[in-house]
Amino acid sequence: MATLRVRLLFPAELVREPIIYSVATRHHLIPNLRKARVTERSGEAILDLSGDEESLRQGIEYLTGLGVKVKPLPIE
Amino acid sequence: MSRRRVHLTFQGQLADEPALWNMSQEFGLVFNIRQADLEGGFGWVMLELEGGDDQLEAAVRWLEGRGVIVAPIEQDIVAG
Amino acid sequence: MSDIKGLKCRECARAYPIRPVHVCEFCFGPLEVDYDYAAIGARVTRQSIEAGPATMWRYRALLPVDGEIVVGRYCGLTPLVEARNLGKALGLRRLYLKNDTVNHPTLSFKDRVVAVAVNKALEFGFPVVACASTGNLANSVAAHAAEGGLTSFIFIPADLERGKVLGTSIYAANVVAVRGTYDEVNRLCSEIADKHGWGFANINLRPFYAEGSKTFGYEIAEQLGWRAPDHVVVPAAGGSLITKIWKGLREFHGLRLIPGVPTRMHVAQAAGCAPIVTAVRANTDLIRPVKQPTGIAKSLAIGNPADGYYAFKTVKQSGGMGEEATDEEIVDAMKLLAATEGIFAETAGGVTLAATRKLVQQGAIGRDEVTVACITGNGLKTQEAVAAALRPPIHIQPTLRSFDEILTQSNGAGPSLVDGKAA
Repeated sequence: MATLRVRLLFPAELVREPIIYSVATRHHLIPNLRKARVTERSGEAILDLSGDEESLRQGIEYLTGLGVKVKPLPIE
Repeated sequence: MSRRRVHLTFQGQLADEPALWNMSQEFGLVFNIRQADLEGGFGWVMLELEGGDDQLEAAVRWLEGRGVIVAPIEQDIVAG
Repeated sequence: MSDIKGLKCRECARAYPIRPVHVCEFCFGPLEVDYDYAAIGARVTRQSIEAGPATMWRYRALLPVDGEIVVGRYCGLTPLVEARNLGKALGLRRLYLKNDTVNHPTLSFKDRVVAVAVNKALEFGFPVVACASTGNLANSVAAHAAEGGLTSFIFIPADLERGKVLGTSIYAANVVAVRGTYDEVNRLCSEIADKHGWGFANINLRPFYAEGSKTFGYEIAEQLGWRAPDHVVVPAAGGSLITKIWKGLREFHGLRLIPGVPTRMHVAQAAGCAPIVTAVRANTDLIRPVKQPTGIAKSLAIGNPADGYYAFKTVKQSGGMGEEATDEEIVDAMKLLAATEGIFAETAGGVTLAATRKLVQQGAIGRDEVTVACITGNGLKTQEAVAAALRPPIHIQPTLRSFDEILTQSNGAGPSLVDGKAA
């Protein structure tokens, strides 16, 4: 089990989609929201994703494929 | 299946718990964050939930039991 | 006739047609009425307004009602009282009271918002109007529904005192007492509105309802001789009134009806429930809900104010402040208002004046600046709040001697017949 902290930036057209829910269910990850600033125009979230290494890799790939910008962050 | 839109206020208690995820798994709900301003366990989230009526009701109580203030997205409807 | 473009999301500016909806489907932001100000400006002048009825409907070009005004025709245009005596007591030369204790028909500013909402409900064809309220809103919705021949449902917390229910029940309203916490009552009403498709004052009629509050600001400006004051002190519950008074003043300026808006908007809350004042002081737009409001100012006891964020922004944008008042300060201010100006306000009025007094003491309001304190409801509705603080009657025998005795005493150590006046 590994935990990866990521910053997600998603565009307006994805604000209506349950992105965090779907990445977690599809790729067997546990999401913990550390920070979120979601408005009508855009969304920014800092998320801890926990799961095995392969799931994390696929999860990030899934998010990127949707058009979400994903940036890994260090966990203090 | 019903949808419910709720306004949640977090007051620090759940900083280290994946609360929304645990809730969704416990009650079989899909959640979507539509607006939020949350950091370090403090702040608010406008959430859309989808699931069975009883599960939605139970999820609201589960959140309340953890100290989250659960309001409709209109927030306070009762007026003076 | 209508110069209304539709509804618009306050956050993302998405447009919606005029219908009973209140939340943007896209971003969950609140919807607001969107006017064609150019068209309104072309036909609205000071003269055209002055030629209108002596009610708030003289501003109907700026209200979202299309057809004939069916209910609440006598609402508004309440006195703007030049409060010389109270001003003296508070250290203000130019203090005015916008006196909605005498608003028609239910003696509070809520008649303004409900008059718009219920006319709109009739236009939409709702057979039922509803609200959740512990006081003024309930009275007003029930009265206007009765006038409009509509059925009304009024939801109240089950532990509300009987006396408070009476001013609603008299209008043949269906008063439903919900056994549950305040939060549960809130959530239930949201679901009822969703399910039954009724006209709900604070829910699907909200964009229209809220516009009625603008007339409070319009009247202040017109009654001051077409100018905006330097300060307005507004009591806040859900936070809508202060944002709408500000909106009304700015609309008037945009329409060149007043020369400018130098106005600082100050927010007043009771110490037992002051989420907006707390946010203003901490300078954060994160409004922390108050879980258990306390104190006598029940009409302001809204812990999770729907317009808290916008109220905060109004105060900040206008350069205003926030002040709170304890129960004791509220009662003192109510007594002072009554003793100096002969006006019996409800507790919210006490909150406003206690806050005004503090703002003067802090130097936030200058002695010569034009200041308007908003008195939003009538004290006869909340008599229990002051009952204990008032002097009981003086009992005498039915003889002249007995009366003369107490008159003499009042000049000495006995109970004074002339106290209670401002120092």
